Amino acid sequence: MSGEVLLLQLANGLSFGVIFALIASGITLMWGIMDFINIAHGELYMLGAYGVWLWLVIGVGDFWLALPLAVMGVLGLGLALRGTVLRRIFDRPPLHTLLATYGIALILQQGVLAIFGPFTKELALPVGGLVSLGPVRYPAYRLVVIGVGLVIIVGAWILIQRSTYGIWIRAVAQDRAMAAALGVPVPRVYTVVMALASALAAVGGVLAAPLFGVSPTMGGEIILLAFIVVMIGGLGNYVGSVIGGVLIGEVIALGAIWLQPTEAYLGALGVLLALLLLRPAGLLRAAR
Amino acid sequence: MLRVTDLHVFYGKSHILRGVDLELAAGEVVALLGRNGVGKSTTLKALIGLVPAHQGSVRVRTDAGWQEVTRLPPWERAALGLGYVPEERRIFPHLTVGENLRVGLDRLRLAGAERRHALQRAFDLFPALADHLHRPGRVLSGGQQQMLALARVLVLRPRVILLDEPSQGLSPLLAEAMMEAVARLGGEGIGVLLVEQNALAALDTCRRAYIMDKGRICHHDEAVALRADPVAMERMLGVTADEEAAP
Repeated sequence: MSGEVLLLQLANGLSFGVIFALIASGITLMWGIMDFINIAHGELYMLGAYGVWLWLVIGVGDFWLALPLAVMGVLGLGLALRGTVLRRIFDRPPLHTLLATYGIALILQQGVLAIFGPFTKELALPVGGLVSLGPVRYPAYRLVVIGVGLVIIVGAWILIQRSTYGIWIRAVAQDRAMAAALGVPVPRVYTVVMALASALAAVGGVLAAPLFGVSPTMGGEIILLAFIVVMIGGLGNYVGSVIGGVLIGEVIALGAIWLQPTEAYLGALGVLLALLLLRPAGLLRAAR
Repeated sequence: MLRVTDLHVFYGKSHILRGVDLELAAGEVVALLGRNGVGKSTTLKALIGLVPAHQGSVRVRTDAGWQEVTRLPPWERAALGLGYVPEERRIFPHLTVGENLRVGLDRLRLAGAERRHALQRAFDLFPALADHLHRPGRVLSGGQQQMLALARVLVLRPRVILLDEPSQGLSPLLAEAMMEAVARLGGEGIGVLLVEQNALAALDTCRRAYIMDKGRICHHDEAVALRADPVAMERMLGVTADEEAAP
């Protein structure tokens, strides 16, 4: 194996990893803060991808204009779900929320299938060309994915660390009743978390669309892996989910040097299983 | 400031509070005493809204007059001036001291000067906190955590503080300092309802006391009168004359 291939796959792994991280960070926020397991989270990622495709088909000429439009659409849908179905099933036993959100996932997936058909839609790369990365020439768009993804991830992290809602989010995660007694409007904090998680997943879907294409099953395919990433990072641990996401991206990409893609996927699951057995509380524990 | 009538609370099928009545005036420090498990902590939780009231009413006096809060969620009660300091303090362990203070303070949306004033008031009472602003809550000592728990409520400018076992687990010296701080709160016009295991220390600090038994207020008197009645003290609180004689 040459150094060039290794470098190439490391960069590929980072671009996958950033997309995983965008999905897993939202799951970990909802799970850690609201004790809410949202199986439909993968569909928000899928809808982000469909959103950007749709806006481009409609005739918004520019990918970078379609990106915020798609994200706003998914954010609106996330809030609508929060205000209707999810509102009624908060604080129910986990089995109820699992089944209800699985139902939502199926409805969204089948709805998209019924409207747009089963075939994968291809998107032109919004940034063409290659960039010299030391000895190798690397697709510029993948670097853009890494850059934009990291900016969004770091931006959300700063929000959680510094803003009033960020402090409330962490306080609610650590002791919900005490936060409420100190005046924190807990339902509004949940709404903000849902909005943030939806937006992060949508950005992931938009960025992934030109790389992998857009299909109704893309959310379902990624959600299981994303949940395992969340477990590895430590439940409710935002930074942990980002590290876990990048880790899993790298394992898949580096595995692909020697293995078939499906074998690399299996290998990634094997690494995750081993980590879960060795560090059941997650890499960084559930420190919030 | 606070008026509670016929408050009933159930945990599942068990009837925990069976008609609690009490009153608290502005600047008054009142003890809520009783043996273990008679419903003192549950009373405070019901007053802040962490456990639902099955029956009865809780009213708080605000600038707009008496306001019924019995069905309001905890955060709205906090906004109306009820402050709650729980047993075991429940500091947010992964937030710094400064962030622990911000949790409630940010809700008030104060302008810069007012905000500094609110913080300064807490630091005046507990100067040690100002030196630890950037340390996470989990590394504080028990005494520092108790100070933070009280300061966290104090920055909200409450009318009433519901204070559960502030001296629990503290050294005698710290416990005494905490009781002095509680007395100072009363001097600033805040009504304090104090639940305390150490009945004698509580009676030193408070003017009046309610005594609870089996989910009800069974006795109510001036602190001086209660201290002078060792038979009642032993019957209701399990405090013996020997303990009282000890320094």
